[in-house]
Amino acid sequence: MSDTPAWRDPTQVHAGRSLVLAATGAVIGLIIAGYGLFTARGTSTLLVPPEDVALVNQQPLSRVDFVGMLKSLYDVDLADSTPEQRRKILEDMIREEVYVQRGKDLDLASVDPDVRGAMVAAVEQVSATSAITEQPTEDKLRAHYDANRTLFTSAGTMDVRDYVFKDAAAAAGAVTALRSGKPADSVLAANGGRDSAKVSSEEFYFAAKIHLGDALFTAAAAMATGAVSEPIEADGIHVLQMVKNTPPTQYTYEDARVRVLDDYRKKAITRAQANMEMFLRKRANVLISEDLR
Amino acid sequence: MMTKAHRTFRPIIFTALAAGVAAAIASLVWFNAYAAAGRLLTADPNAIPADRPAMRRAVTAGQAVYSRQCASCHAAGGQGSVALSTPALNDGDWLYGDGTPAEIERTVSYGIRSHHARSWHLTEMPGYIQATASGTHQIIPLTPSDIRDLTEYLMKLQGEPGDEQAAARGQTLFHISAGCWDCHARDAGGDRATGVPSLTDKIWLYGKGDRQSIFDSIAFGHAGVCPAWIDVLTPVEIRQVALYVYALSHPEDSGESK
Repeated sequence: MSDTPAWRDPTQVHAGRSLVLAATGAVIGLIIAGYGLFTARGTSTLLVPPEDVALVNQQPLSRVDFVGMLKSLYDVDLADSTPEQRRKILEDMIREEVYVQRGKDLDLASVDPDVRGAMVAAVEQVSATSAITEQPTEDKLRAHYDANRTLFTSAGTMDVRDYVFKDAAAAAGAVTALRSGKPADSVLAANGGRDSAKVSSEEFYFAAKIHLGDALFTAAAAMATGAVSEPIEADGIHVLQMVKNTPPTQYTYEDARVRVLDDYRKKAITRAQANMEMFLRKRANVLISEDLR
Repeated sequence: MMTKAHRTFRPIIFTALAAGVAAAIASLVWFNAYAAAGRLLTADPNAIPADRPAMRRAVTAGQAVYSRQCASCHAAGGQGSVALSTPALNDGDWLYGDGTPAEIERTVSYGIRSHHARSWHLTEMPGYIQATASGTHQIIPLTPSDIRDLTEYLMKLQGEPGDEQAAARGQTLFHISAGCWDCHARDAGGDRATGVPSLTDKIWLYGKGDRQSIFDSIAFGHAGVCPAWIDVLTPVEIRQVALYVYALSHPEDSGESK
């Protein structure tokens, strides 16, 4: 039996094994270091990544933006552009970047209201971007539809006349006459009423609500086509005569899906922005002056 | 005659050599892929379709990216979805730009109304049955009869029979009070520079071009969204998927042999 230390026995010292392990470790280390050197963002490097056209103080200028600006400014593709055009675009981009960096150095965000406003808007957009990138599943959308069914209807329309009377007795007489089928003009003349002309033709519910006011609109929305309301006291005595009422009808999920997704996204954006603000406020050390606490 | 030292170091040397060769091969493969990605990224995106081998590699890789990130909305073959109101990507009809690889790449990178500052977001179809139809433009709400008239006008533009008098009123609305012409152009042909669709080509993104869906589009408005993928995909993946999408409507440029 040999007294040479066994290659596979970890309890024994083996020079060859140590050498191989050290060499393997060195190779792996070199590969990792090389990968990191060529791909890491923010690493100081002399190489411009292929997706960029320049680095300004290690800040990349995107090739997509470069090609887009060539198209916008000169309506040419990269291959068809002249060196002069490319140089002009590149110089413009570099100029913008150095000015932006100088702006950061000068801390313009602390003093310039325009910069502050732009930064607030930009941060809001960043939080909205993440909300949009996350695609909701069909189950989530359907749950949203079920929870907000009243939002996903057709647009209700109404054509209604609003008559105004001096007192309740005149209004009551007009109601009886209108319900018996007498023409509105003669009823108004006989009872001293007038047409407010707030609604003169078919309107969407939202417009009728604005024109009639909440109280009259609520009464009108409940009326059937051809109906005449009881006298309603709302800044005068009113009687409504419904010419045509087409209430909103419920859309199925399939028919409303586009609007469901749109509404879901809007609410997701609102939530994301609220969460962002909550996070920022939580993280911030805010001290409030004693007199305003 | 093999000495004791030979016997001891031979497996070590073989192992070290094997490890070295494996590392060298791995490095070569990685460097080759890195260099290919660099060539793809530094090339003019609009010129890549003419480079058949490069295009073939990009399209193959782009298809995988598309299946992962885009197919759930735009369908596996890029045919879009009426149910999801997502546009077809294989028909050569483009809302934004002329469908060049560079323009597609921009859309993939920054999205449409994605809230990314560089996304396409200049226009939005207002809903005309709101007191404030637009937050930025003074747009007067329309009445139900206005929208019916506009609908008739749009049906006429499609060559569909309908109420001629209503269509004439709708034409006046389109060109004057409703202000539709401002985005959709005087000839209703749309504007690819701002992503406004043509209303004359029988290609509908929302619904199937029937009266009810046109009425609802005018009434409720639309603002379709495509996410910005710039922070999700790598630059190479973005270019690959842009080239794949380009190839969907240009199969002759997909890099496959004729």
